[in-house]
Amino acid sequence: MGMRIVPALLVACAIPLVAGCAGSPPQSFVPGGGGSSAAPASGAGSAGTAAAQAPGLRKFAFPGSVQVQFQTPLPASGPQRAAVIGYENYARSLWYAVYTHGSSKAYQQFASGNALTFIKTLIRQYTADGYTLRGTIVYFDTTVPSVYYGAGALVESCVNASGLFKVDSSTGKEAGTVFSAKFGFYQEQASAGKKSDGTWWIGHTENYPAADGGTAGMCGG
Amino acid sequence: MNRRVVFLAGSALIAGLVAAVASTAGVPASAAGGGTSDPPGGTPPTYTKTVTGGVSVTGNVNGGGGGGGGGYDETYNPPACWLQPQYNQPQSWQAGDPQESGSPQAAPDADSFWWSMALDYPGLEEEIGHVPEARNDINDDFKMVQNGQNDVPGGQNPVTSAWVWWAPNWLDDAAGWSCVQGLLGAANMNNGFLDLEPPQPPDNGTPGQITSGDLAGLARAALQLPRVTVHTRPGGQSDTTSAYVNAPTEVYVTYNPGPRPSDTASVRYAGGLYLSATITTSAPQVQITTTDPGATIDDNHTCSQGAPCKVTFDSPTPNGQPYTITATVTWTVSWTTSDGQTGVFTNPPSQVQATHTVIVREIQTVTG
Repeated sequence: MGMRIVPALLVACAIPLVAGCAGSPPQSFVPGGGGSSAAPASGAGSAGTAAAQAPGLRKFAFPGSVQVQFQTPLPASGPQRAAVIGYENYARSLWYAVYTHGSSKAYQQFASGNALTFIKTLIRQYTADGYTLRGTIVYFDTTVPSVYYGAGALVESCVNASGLFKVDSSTGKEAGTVFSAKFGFYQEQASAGKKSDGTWWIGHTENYPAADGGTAGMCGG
Repeated sequence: MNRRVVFLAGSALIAGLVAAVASTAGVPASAAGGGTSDPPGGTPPTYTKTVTGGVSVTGNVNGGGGGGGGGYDETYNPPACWLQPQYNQPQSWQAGDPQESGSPQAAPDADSFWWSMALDYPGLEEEIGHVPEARNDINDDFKMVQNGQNDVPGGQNPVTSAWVWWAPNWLDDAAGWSCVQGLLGAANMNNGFLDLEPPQPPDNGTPGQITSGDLAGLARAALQLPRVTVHTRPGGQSDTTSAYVNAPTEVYVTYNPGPRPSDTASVRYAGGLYLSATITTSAPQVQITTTDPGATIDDNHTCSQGAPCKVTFDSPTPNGQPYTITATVTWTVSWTTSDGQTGVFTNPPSQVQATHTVIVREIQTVTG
């Protein structure tokens, strides 16, 4: 029965686990209070909206040439608000990880499952190809259509990725948009979950090009 | 991702979990550079399947065939996730767990399920890596249960073969995984990703456990309504069909495969049937409409071949453009479960529409 100690530890931190159990040291969040301390470190790159100043939203030191914008105000309260904060942190950490070629590990706090796999794929690709980023990606019409048991939520958002470009780091020349033309405008469905430390992260994403119609059609540019 | 395949190869969990956790559709393996990685794709937002395949559906189901067929139409609001009896005590652990890919001993059990879920949580995975003997200790817990001992300190003993491992199952899409994250956070299961319990009857009120209503919802979402075809008499080829002003045209509908579909969803595990839900449908109610605003419709709401409805057109089709006859067929869908629960689905309505076009002419007569 002594062997229960470790499993008990794991179980205790396992569900919904993760952040509190993660080996990587916790990284500080933007101080609370809804104050002005969350202004981007440089330029307007990290958010460009008042929502970026909300408690819990992580800021990233993007250069002025890279902007990750969220146009939809955060939900007022509750798990909806927490889930969207988790989603915005996920998206910002994704692009900051790409921009830094993985030097920033913040994304590990905000992504798991195929969302994490996707970030790692992009980091590898941009590192191997010597690309950096330039331009603006816009997340708009963000909603939380479903909340489950107060600790899981579906986040849906339209994304305009047509203005964010891969740039050759050595020549400064653009090498096309970050995604194929098909994903210039698309809808992202993200699974948000509450972690043991009370913050939320993204465990799974599915993405549908606006051109394919259906509910994604409303995201068309 | 590779480790997941190693742990679960041979398990019914593989396809669903790989899809749910590591779906990289639309993400080419472009680590070599030069490519464009698009964001992860997904299955269309309808006709999803469950992840573990723990619910089987037979009868008239989407996509045809048994075993769940083409999946669940989320238009009908099935539950996104739930707990269900997945294994029993004799399926707790086996030598060599978690089994590796290709192992002849590989089989689904509670131990392997735990590990498959743990891999979805990189923080936990990392923690396990930092604790000496953690893997063995975790496996030993399941081994205790396999040997009839409760692994929860102070828990009821002995653990008999009738005891059940409850595990999450969910629809294989973003909503399903959202739901299961919430469920795992709220259910406080005694083994993290699984809950070991003595036998319990269905609908006992335990939060998260699949209920009669949940299973009926899945059965409804899996139900495929028949294809409906509209026929007219006199017949003929669609746009050239002869129908005549002021002369009744008979209209009837046929159904493939039949007019009253049904299906049954079941939760079974090694301990036997836990719960089943059967969907039955009423006789179809038919409503006929047409694009001729002046037409008279004698609609008996059956419009069968033996008792057809009648449409009397008021005017010929203009400029050769046919009128459209539309049959809207509606069923009342009811459910009953193996533990005696019953209900009726009312929203959204269960409807199928089918159309048929006719060219209407005036009868030319010679008088005087």
